[in-house]
Amino acid sequence: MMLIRRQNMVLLVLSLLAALLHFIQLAFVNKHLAVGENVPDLLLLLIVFVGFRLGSIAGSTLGFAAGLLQDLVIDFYGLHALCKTVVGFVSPYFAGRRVLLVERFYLPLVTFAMSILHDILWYPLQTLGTPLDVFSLWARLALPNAVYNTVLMFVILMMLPERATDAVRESPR
Amino acid sequence: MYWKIRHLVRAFVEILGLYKKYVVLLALLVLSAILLQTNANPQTTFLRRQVFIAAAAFSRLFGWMPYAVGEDEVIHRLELRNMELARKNVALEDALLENVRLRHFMKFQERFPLRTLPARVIMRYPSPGHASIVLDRGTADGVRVHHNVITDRGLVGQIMDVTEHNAECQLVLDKSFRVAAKIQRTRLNGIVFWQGQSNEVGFYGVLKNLDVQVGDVILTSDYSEYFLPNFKIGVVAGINNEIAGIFKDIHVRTFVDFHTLEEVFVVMDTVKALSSGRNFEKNFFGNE
Repeated sequence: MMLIRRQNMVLLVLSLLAALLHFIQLAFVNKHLAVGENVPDLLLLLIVFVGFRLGSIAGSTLGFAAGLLQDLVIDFYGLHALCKTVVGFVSPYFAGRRVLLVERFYLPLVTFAMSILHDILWYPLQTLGTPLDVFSLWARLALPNAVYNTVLMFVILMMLPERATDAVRESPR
Repeated sequence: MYWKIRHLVRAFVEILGLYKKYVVLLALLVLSAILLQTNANPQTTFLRRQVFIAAAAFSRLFGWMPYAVGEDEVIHRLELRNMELARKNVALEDALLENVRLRHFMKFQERFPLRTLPARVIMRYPSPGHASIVLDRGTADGVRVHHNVITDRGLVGQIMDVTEHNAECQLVLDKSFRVAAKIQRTRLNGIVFWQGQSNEVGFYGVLKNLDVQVGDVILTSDYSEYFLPNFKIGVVAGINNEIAGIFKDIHVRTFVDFHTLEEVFVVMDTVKALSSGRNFEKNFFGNE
């Protein structure tokens, strides 16, 4: 019972963190960190990190909640929620796989893969029934965004105290 | 009997516990799908149609199977008919709404003095810092960069990028959007720019001692380099004089609801090259 309460508490804190990150994304990141039309997705980074550390249930639940927050902005309810739920669910599967040579870059690489996965789902759904070329959108927006997310995740890991990064490398899963 | 049910429930709970993460995933995906269904946009309509088509094909595939109860042939025919009617119903509902909107737009186009081209919004970029929409008109229809985009309610934005069949329109709610504007009642000039609020912009450049009132209508100015004059932008919703600097902090509620844009008009006439209009926006407000 205590464990469940603790898990709920962790999820609540993470949801509040997601809301804060979403606010930062809207107020600062989209405005000041945009490179052309490409912006990093802070919530995606959080979901990948949480999925990596806490597992599929926490990852997908947070993914759904955070996705809903983003859906409120674009007025297409369920789209981000769906994509980010999948990302939150899939990201923990990389946690058990150790790649020694690129250990320092492992989580950023996972972020890259998850970012691509997210956009593989997102753009076709967003362009359904329209004459837009989804491949060009992937090339123009999805790929640079994934690179941006990867770089940002790497920078964040560098800035975090070593204990936190160790925790990522020594994932208990 | 009771203990059997208890065992069954316990076994079910154990199975749920064993596959908890998949159950959670399934529940969240179903919830997302339900949410997706609540949207009324072209993507969802397209998806619904595809589901009906797939369901009809699926139904045909298993059509040879006998029904457990009732008259096979009649039930089968009625189900197919029901499916077809449901599909038509979705299409008709969509057409009805479109019809109402288009009638409204046609009336507007008839009484509007400038040459306009109706266009449909086929995509909107999700990032609120890069607020833009993609239209189903392009160079093949005569659309060019900097053409103004409006609705019957007012200014929507301007064309920033154009391909043969599509055009990207930068919205008034984009972070880098600036337009020279004036107050209809007093003719005071200023610059309209987005301040980060939904369907709200700022009107900058009016000195604190000048006359502005809540309810004043803001129009595009004659001095703009890219925008034709007298398009409605919005109405003054709030004025704050308690800020640093010499200018008022004016909040303007836009006439256009940018969350529900589906059809717009591209104004095919362009700004006449007035020397006074050159670089007005940039000189007035810098390039922040």
